[in-house]
Order: sequence, then C-alpha cells, then structure tokens
Amino acid sequence: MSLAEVLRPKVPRNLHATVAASFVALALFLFVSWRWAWSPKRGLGLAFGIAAALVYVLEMLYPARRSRARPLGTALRYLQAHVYLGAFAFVCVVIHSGLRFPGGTLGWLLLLLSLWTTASGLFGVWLQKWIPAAMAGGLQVEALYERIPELVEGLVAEADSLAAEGSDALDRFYRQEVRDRLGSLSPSWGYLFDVRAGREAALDPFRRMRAYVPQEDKERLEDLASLYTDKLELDAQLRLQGVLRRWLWIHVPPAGLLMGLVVVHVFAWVWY
Amino acid sequence: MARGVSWGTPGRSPHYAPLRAKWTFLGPALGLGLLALVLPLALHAIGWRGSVSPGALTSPHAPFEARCEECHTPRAGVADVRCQRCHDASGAGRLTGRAHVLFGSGDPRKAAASEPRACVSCHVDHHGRGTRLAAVDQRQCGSCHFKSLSAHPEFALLRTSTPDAPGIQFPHERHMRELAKQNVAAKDACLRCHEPEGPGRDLSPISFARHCATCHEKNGSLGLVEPIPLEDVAAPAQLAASGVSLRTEEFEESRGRIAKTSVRHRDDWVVLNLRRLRRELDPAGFAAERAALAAREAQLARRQALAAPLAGLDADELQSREAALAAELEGLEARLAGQAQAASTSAGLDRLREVAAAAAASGDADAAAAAQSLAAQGEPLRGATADTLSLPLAEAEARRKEILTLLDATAAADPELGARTEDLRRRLIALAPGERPAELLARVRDQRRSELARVRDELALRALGVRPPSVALLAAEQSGLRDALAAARQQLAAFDEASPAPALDDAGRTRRRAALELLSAPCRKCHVLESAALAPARVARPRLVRARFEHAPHLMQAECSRCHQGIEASKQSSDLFVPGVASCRECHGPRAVRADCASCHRYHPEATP
Amino acid sequence: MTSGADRTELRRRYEERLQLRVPAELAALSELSLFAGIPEKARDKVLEKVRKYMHFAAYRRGDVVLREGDYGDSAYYVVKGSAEVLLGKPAAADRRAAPRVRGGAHAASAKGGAKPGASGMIGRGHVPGTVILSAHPAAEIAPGGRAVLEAGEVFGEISALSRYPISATVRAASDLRLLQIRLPGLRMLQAASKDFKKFLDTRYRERTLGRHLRGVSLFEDVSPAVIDAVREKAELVAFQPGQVIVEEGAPADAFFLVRGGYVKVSAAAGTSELAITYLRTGDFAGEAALILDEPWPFTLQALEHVELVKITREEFRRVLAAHPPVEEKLWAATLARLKQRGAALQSPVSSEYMRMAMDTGLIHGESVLLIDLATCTRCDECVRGCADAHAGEARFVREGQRYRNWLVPTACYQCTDPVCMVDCPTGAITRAIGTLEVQIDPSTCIGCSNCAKRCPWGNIVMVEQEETRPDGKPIEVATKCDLCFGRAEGPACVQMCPHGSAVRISFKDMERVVSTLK
Repeated sequence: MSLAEVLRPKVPRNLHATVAASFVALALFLFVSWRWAWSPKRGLGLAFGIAAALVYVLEMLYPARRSRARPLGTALRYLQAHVYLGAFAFVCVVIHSGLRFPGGTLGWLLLLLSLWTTASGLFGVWLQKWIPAAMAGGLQVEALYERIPELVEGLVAEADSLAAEGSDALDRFYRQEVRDRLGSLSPSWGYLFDVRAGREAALDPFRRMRAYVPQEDKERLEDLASLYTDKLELDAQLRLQGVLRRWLWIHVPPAGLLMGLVVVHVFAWVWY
Repeated sequence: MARGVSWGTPGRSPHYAPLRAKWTFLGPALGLGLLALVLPLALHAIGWRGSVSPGALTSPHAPFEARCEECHTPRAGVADVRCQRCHDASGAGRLTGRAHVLFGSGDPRKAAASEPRACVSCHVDHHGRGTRLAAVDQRQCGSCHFKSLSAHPEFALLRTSTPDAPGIQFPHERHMRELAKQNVAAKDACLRCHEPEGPGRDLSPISFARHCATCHEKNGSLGLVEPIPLEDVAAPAQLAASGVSLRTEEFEESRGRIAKTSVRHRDDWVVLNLRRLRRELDPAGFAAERAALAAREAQLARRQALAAPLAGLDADELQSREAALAAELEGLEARLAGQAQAASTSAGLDRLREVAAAAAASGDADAAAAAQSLAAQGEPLRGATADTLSLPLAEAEARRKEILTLLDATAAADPELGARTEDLRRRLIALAPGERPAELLARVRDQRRSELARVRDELALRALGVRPPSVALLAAEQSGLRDALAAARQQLAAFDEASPAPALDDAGRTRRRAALELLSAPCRKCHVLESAALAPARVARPRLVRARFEHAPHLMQAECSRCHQGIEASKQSSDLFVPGVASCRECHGPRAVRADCASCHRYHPEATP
Repeated sequence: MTSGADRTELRRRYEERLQLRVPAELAALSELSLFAGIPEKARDKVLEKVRKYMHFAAYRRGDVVLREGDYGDSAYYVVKGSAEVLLGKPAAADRRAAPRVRGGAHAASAKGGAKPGASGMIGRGHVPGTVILSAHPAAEIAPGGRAVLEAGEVFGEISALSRYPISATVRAASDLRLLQIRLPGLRMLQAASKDFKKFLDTRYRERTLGRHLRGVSLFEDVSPAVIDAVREKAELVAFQPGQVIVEEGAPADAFFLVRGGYVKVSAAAGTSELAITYLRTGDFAGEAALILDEPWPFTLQALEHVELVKITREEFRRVLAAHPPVEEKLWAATLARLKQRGAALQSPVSSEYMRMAMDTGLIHGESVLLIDLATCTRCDECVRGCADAHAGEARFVREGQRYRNWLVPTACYQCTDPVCMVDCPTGAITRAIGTLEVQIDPSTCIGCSNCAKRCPWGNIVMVEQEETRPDGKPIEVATKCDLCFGRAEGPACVQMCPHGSAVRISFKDMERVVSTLK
C-alpha cells in the first residue's frame, strides 16, 4: 500500500470538517488576540479551554460504544468522532494557551500530556491503517491471536504424521532441521518491515532436500514446506496482531493521567 | 493432492475463543487518572501549592508565593482589596477603575456609573520573576478606548474652543528676536527657558528667577512703584507689627505718599497690598477665591482624615472600626432612602428660609436679606425634580461660590451659627460640579462600604495569620498629601492675614483703584490685571494633565520648530503652538516607531493632585 | 432458565415430539392405500428402508398441525379424521397480479425480520420477478377462507419438496391421525416407486402447476385454456446433486422451469468454465434457445436435489403461435439473458465470485458475514458485540476460509434452504414468516446436535448449559447466528466494528457483491 493509500481517510468529509473547524478557530484566535488582550482565564480563551475539556470528556465515552448505540449508531462513527474530535481538541488546547508556553508545572504537564495523547492516538490510527493492509496483502493465513499457539501445535501434529508416513531421509530431515523450529513461535520484529521477511532463507532447506528425497516423498516435502510457511505466517500474525493490541498501552493510560490533571486544573480555576 | 499454504485458518476449533478482558486498558487508565487527581490535591491540601501554581510570581510578590490565600480568595479570585492592602494603604480608592474614569472625565456621575474593573484584569501575575506588572498590554486600553494611535482623536487641549487664558503677556517673537541679537542659535533659544528634565515633569516649569530674571531684573529690581497715598495702602511700619519683615531702605515716604524704589518679583509688600485692595474692591471675588482655597484645604484635610492605615491597628481596633463603619453605613442608607423621597429642591429652599429667619432673629439684616433673595430666586424651582434641573457647569460653580460667600459671612457675623453652617459648608464643598446631593450621599456611602469591606477583609486575613503590610508603605503615600495640605494651609493663611475691610463708597473706590494701578504698575509689564487682581499665571502649570510627553528623545531627532511651527512669529501669549495628533503620526504608527498607549498616558491618577 | 409452568408445557411438548422419533410400524404402513402403488414384492423392502423417516402422529381436535409460515419438511397423509386448512387475510400492502403467498425469503415485498433500520447491515437476497409457490390444496381458497381435508388426502408435500414455508394453517377438525413423511423419505419413495412419484406429480399437476405457471411472468396473461394445455403436456423431472441437466452445445429442445432446488448455469470460456448465474425456484431457462433455434449456449447442472418442470419444444412453439404477447415477453427475457452472459464474459470478477460462491456454498446464504482483512485490526469488537447481544456468548468465531482480502467467519449464512432444519426432532430451529433469520429456540432445543452435524460449514456450535442431564453430562443447546433479530440496531457484528470492516451481503445479489467486494 502506498503512503497515499494508507493515509486516505475512511470518511473524507470528517477530515475536511475538522480541518475547516481548526482553521476557523485559529482565525478567530488571531482576530481576537490582535484586538483584545488574550487570557486563558477569560472570554474566548476560557471558552476554548472549556471546549477542549468537554471534548476530552466526550472522548472518554469511546468505550461506551459497546453498551449504547445512540446517539451515533455504529462503532465506526464513534471511532471517527473520537479521532477527529481528539485532534480538534488539541488545537483548542493550543489556542486556549494563547500560543504561549505555560508557566507552571501543571500547565506544562497538561500540554505535554495532551500532545502525547493526541500524537499516540494518531500513531495508532496510522498503525491500524497499514498493518492490516500489509497482513492482507502479504499473508494468506488468518488466525485468532489467542489461538496461534494451539494452531502451531496442530501444524506440528500434522507434520509429525506426514513425516512418519514418509521415508527415513525425510523423517530424519524433519526431526533434525524442521521440527524444533516448526514448534517454537518466533515473532520477529523484522515482520514489521516486511511481512514475508526471512521466508526465502527459511524455505531454503526444503528446496535443498528435494534432490535427496525419493520420488514418492516429493509431495510430502512440498506439504511440509507449506506447513512451515503456514507457521511462518502465523509468526508474522503473532507479531503484527500483537502490535495492534499493545499500542493502546501508550495511549490509554496517559489519557487517564491527562484527565486526572484536567480535573485538578479545573479545580484550580474554580478555587482560585 | 498437494496441501498448499492455507487460505484462512489452518485448523478449526469447535469452541469459541476467549476474549481479552474489557478493562485491560481502562483499568490502568482509571488508576492513573485517580492518582493524577488525588496526588496534586493532597499536596495542595497540605500546603504545597506548587502543584497547582500556574507560574512564578513577579519578584516583589515572591514572599506571597508560599500562601495563595494572601492574594486569592477561594472561589472569588483576587479581589481588588488585596492589592490595595499594600498599593493603596490609605484606602483612597485611587487605583480603581472608577478613579480612572473620574480622572479622565472629571465627571463623578460617569465615574459612578462606569463598569468596575478588577486590578487583575490588566495586571496579570504568575508570569515569572522578571515580569513588570506595571507594563500593561496595550490591547487592554483598546477594550474601552480606541485601538491605536491612528484612531487617536485630536488632543483635548486643541479641541476646546476656549483655552484658559495664560495670564501672562509674553510675545515669543519679541523674545526670540532678542535672543537672536545675542547670537543664540534658534534651537538653543527655546531651551533657554524650556528646560528639559524637571522633577516629575518633562520640562521645568517656567520660573521667573531662572528664566526671566536675567533680562528683566536689574540689580534685583523689576522697576519701582510710584508714590501712592498712604491711607490706601498698608505702610511697612503697620505690617512690621504683624510680623511681616520688610527692608525699609526701599521705601520712600513723603507728603503722605509712599513709594518703593526697588520691586522684586513677588515682592511681599506689593503682594500683600494688592490682596488688601482686592478684598476692598472685589469682596465677592476675594471671598470666592478664599472659599475655593478653603475648599481645597478641606478636601485635602478630609483625605488625610479618611486615610486609615489598617496596618498599624490591632484586632480590637479593627473590630471597633468595623462596628463604627457599619453603624455609619446604616445611617447613610437611611438618609439615602429618605433623600429619594424628598424633592431636594424643596428641602433646600426650606432650609434657606430657616437660615434667613435665624439671621433675622439674630439681627443680621444683611445676611437675612441675602438669604431671602436667594430663596426668592430659587422659589420657581420648588417642586422641580432633579431631572428637570440642569444648570450649566459655570453657573453652578458661580452659585456655589455665592453660597459659600454667604456662609462665610454668616459664620463671621455670628460664631454660634458657624457650627451649623459648617455642615452645610462641608457638603457644599464636597459637592462635585453637576452632582446632586443624593449622588453625593451615594458616593459617600460607596466609599464607606468599600472601607468596611477593606476592614473586614483585613480582619479575615489577620484571622488566617497573615501579617499586616509595613507601615512605611503608607508613609510614602501620605508624605505627598501632607506636603500638599501644608501648602494649602499656607495659602489660606495668607488670605486670612488681611482683616475684614469696611465698605467703600464711590470716592473711596476710585482712590483704591488708582492705588491698585500704581501698585501693580511694575507687575503689569507682564501680568494682566483682571477684576482687581492679577490673573494667575498659568504658564507654570503643566498643560497636559492626563498625558505625559517626554521631550528628551524627541529633541534628539528634531528641532523644536519641527513640531511647534510658527512659534517665532507668535505675538500672542495665548497662542498654543502645541502640535496636533497628526504631527505625532508622522513618525509613530504600526509600521514606524512604536508608541503604545502607556508611553504617553497613564491609567491611575497621581497620589496627590 | 424457564419457570415452572413453562417447564411442564415444555415437557409435554417434548414428549409429544418424542413420539415423532418413533419410526412407524411396518405392519401399519403396509395397510395404507398410499403405498398401494408400490409393487408388492418390493413394498416391504422399500418401506423398511423408508420407515425411519415416517412417523404416525395423533392430534386432538383443535390442535394445530402446521402453522402458516412454519418451515415445512414433511408431507402429511391423513389416515383418519379430518383437517381444516385456513388461510388468513393477506397484508393490505400487497396487491399483485400473481397469486402471492406470504412468507418465503423471496417474497418481493416482505421486509427482513430485523428492524427496517438495520436493513443496510444485512445482505438480502433479492431477485425481482420471482414466482412464489403455493402449497394450497386443490380447491381455491380465498383469503380468509377455509377448506377441509378428509382421509386419504396428502398435504405439505410441495412445501417440503420446494423447501418453502407453509402458506396456510392446518388444524385438526376432529381427532386426527396423520402419517408424517419427512423429506428424505419422500425422495426415496419417489425414487423407489414410479407410481408414488406419479401420484405426487399428478397431485402437483392438478393442484398447483397451473398456479405456478400463472406465476411465471411469461404466462401471466395467457388464457386458461393454454395453461391447461401446457399443464397436461408438461413433464416433471428430478435431478440429483451434481447431475448435468443439459450440456452446452447440445440441441436445445425444452424449456425448463425450476420447481425446487438450485441449478447452476455456466458456459465454457476458453479453457475454463465461466459461471454465469444460478437458477432457483421460479426461474426458468431455455426460452432463448427455443426462440433463436440454437443449441444450448450454456450448461445446466443441478447443485442439489432439483425438481424441474419441462416443456418440450413443440408444445412451447404451439403456445407461442397462439399467443403473441408471450413471444414479446420472451424476447425481453432472452435479451436479459444475453446481457447476463455478456456481462459475465466481460467481468470475470463477478463470474469468479459467482463460481466461488457456488463452489463453497455461500450462494445459499441470505446474509453472509464478511470481514475485510485489509482494514480489520483484529480487535474482536465484532465478537464482543455478538457476545453482549447474546448474554455473554458469542455466536461466531472470527476464523474461516479466506477469499482474496475477505474472511468468511463461521457465522450462519442464513441459507435459503437450510439443511440444518431437516433433522430437527423438536422443531426448535425455525424460520418465521418473511424473515431471513433461521433461529434456534433454546428452550425447545434438546441438544441432539443433528443440526450442528448437518451444517456443512460448522456454523452451529453446541454450548453447554449449567444444568445437567440425569446421567450427569451437561445439557447442551445449539447456538448459531440469528442476525440479532431482536435488536433494534440490527446485527451487532456489523454495528460494532470500529472500522466498518464487517459487512453482510448476499451472494444472490451479484451487483451488490461486485460493488462491495471489489
């Protein structure tokens, strides 16, 4: 998938709306701050701050997509709202600060956490665009993440019986060179760069063995090779699906931290 | 058949796979969120305020950083009263937005009706140790006034059609010619008299001693006074008895006339006699001027009395002050309520009649007649509500002066009445031009209210354990007031030197007039005589009251004649030659030399007017 | 679980149903006149083979034997007593020239069982212009009317053979004794005994064929005389799964009307076989060949058990000569067919999908769940949504075959012709009127796992319940995807996918397939 294809938005209208809204907000800020003094505590600066805080609260409702369909309906719409509102909220945060660096510890923490949460979220969006495409384009096997060890065991069992049927040469080759690697999962990080990384090298032994196996075993050798390929693809699935699951660790807990600090920030505003 | 690589799942299980738990990520997120919520608040509760501080305070405020409550009131932000604790220790309200409106417009009604502005709306702290709080963002001014120099209206000085008369005859043209004869270059000529770097002023005030004496005084003398009949003036011998010291060698007495050979600027003898003559020739004017001076003195005295530094009081004193203020406030509210019902004109007229009756009863026919005539004049106004009344400002001033004179006379005639007239006098003095009595009462009540709030706030802060501000802060404010009061009292005393004068007939009047002319002859070379007195020289007063112009940087760029064009040809001293705002715009503007509102104007009035 | 009162009722029904599992006694069967057509020598052998599909059932007066809209998989022979046939009033919205019957997945105007709002999420098989078979007995019944069946009558056989819902309610008018012959048995009898087959065919020809022909657009406005003539001469033929009906290139000599089952229409394109379309109940083929006097341009092959009405060339020509309007319509149909073939040649994609769908059996599905692997992030939200909608147990697994970038998970395809329903002893597995969903009623299911074994794709899973049987093993209940029929928003899998990767389509709607699955 080319970069352009990966970055293409699913619902372009939402992207256009968000970009337009951001421009409007910035234009509003530039106009107002040129004429009147800008303060995050009063007037439009406060309004942007409140808007950003409210949007962050709404963002937290994303998990609620499971239990209620209203008002947005499908989970697709919820996710679109989550992503685009999140980006817009960050723009609101920056405008709220008046495009100045914050003064105190709390302010800095809030800004950095907002930036991190938004950036990590967009990073996740990017991951979710290219990893499935890479898997669909480069791999044939499709497996449930939790089942992969079980499936590999099944492959090993199938290979065992296949090797047992065959000649001694095949059996020996299988036991010495293939079985261990077939049975152990090795989700290498290289799969993130190329979904079929290392396949040629891994299948090389099978190709070499072709010359040394009797005729009736040639098909069995092919089958063993395809079993091994299945296993390699399962490794790739393990790594890629693992990344797709685990990236949320860098997004959700910092978001929680951010929300806690937002509450402290609101308290400070109200109290002082 | 070959197996081939699987398309899809290599093997199937008949059972459903277990799903990842729902709370895998939300659990830690909520945990962290609660931690982020609880930890700073807990730290805040035990006093570590850094967790919620939005930034360091400017260095003079640094001692307050430990306790936010010294400036912040929970849920109410920073109240003005906290800033005023140190910056307006006398509680004069000088630094409020209302004071600014009053300062700018001179209209107390407008000031009372204006929107209050909190100190913190312009002076924003928590931006670091190096901030200068006094440097206010220019855009703040724009929220009520115009936005930039390009929208600045013409200067008020030039807009008013009748500028104050200068009170001095000074042709620039003549003097510049003289200086040119002395080979003084044009640009240095101006600086001979208009010296930069006066204390607290841009240019030094014109002073005779510094600027005029070099040419106009010979051997310390301006000229001489022709012989004047002795009965018209006070002789030096008479004056010596009352403590005024004079040099007898300057006087020449012969044949019932006295002359003075050498007259200095502000010669004591001349000034005294001029005053006496004025009192005889223009008693109304004299009384009016004295009244004005007395009013100013009273005002300053009142300010000093009202200046209540809370720093030096302990808790008991504060509480008693609070009780007193609360009682006074109650009384004021009652009076205000009562005032609202009564038509003030009727009440006033009734009181005039009372005064007239009292005067008549005590035998002072003149006073009684004067009061009756005033009452008769005011009779058509009975029943008129305040809204239908609208005296022009000048007329109102004139009336006030009349009434003040009347009251003076009454007090002088009968000291017992003096106590009763004192109250009326005070109120009349406090009445700002154009202000109705109800408004005055409201103003007083507002002042008392803010004072009460100040005392209560101080009590609250003391209860929290906050130390009072240093007494030295007040002393700095008060010194200016003290000096001004002393000066005012001195001037008043000078007026009171003269004893009451008998009434004059026409002949006497003519003679006094002649004496006046003779006496003021050397002065009239420059000064102007108007209605039996020398007009005050206004050249000594600063022209710009609400703005401040620094000549020094401008003089480095251009000569005086660049902006003050045509001054060399000016023969009239009333010619202003103050350039208009267009001339400023030649250099100042958004794309040229920057000049924001604060470079010329100030928001707060000075501590002493 | 159900309450006490329900349990008693369930028990009673359960026991009632159990008697249906008891095969009929040979002796009792031999007595019936129904089997008189089978030669004596072969009779016992045949009956012995078939008897496990035949059961005697007793009904009290007023009991409902067949409910309108119920799924029919049996023919019923009235041994003793009488039954009444009741036809309810049709829905007001439907006014069509062709006789219509409520129910059936192909009902042109029937809405899906899931709420209208969710219709976008379910792929409906919708082919316009199809005809609907009626299972009416001989007498015309007006809507709201009633007819009576006496001993010796057979009913329900057409519904069973064509796998359509029952179109009228049958109720016992008196104490009734019926012989229920289930579909496999029917087929075996048809194969074993020509007379039996003839018996059934005659009944079909007399009762229904006319109406069936009337329903075909070609014969809509034709005079009754023509219908009768055609009826007399039409042949009723049956084919086994995989059997070739006509070969491409052979001379075209008949017009076929599909009575029941699926027929694959394919043509040779170079060295490969190009699947053009499929025919199902109500579709016809061969009209183009007859008009154009060409050899067969395609091969017809039976995908499963297929019953066809065959009209020979001469008969057909006679009809055409007598009725020009028929010929006009025929031209229109021919053009459509040619276009279809042309389109298939031009877009191998649709042909490929068609072939894939037919080879794998997806063609049977009214609503197949597909997951786009190029956008699916494997987050399992679809499964989680399914579980939430079904009290914590998901009804499908995100595993299965893969075609191009699409994964076909093991979620029930809601077949038009569900084989899972064939062997259910309790009738727990049903399909209501006018809906897509094949549902399993958990309180009726006894966990025999017949349906699970029958489903060729393993889409039905037996789930253990908390309770145990008397012998200690836990009670199992069959579960499968039911299109979230009770859920307002429609199928949870489609709704819960955050990336919109899950789609539900039907391979019967090839246009939609090509546009969605490109």
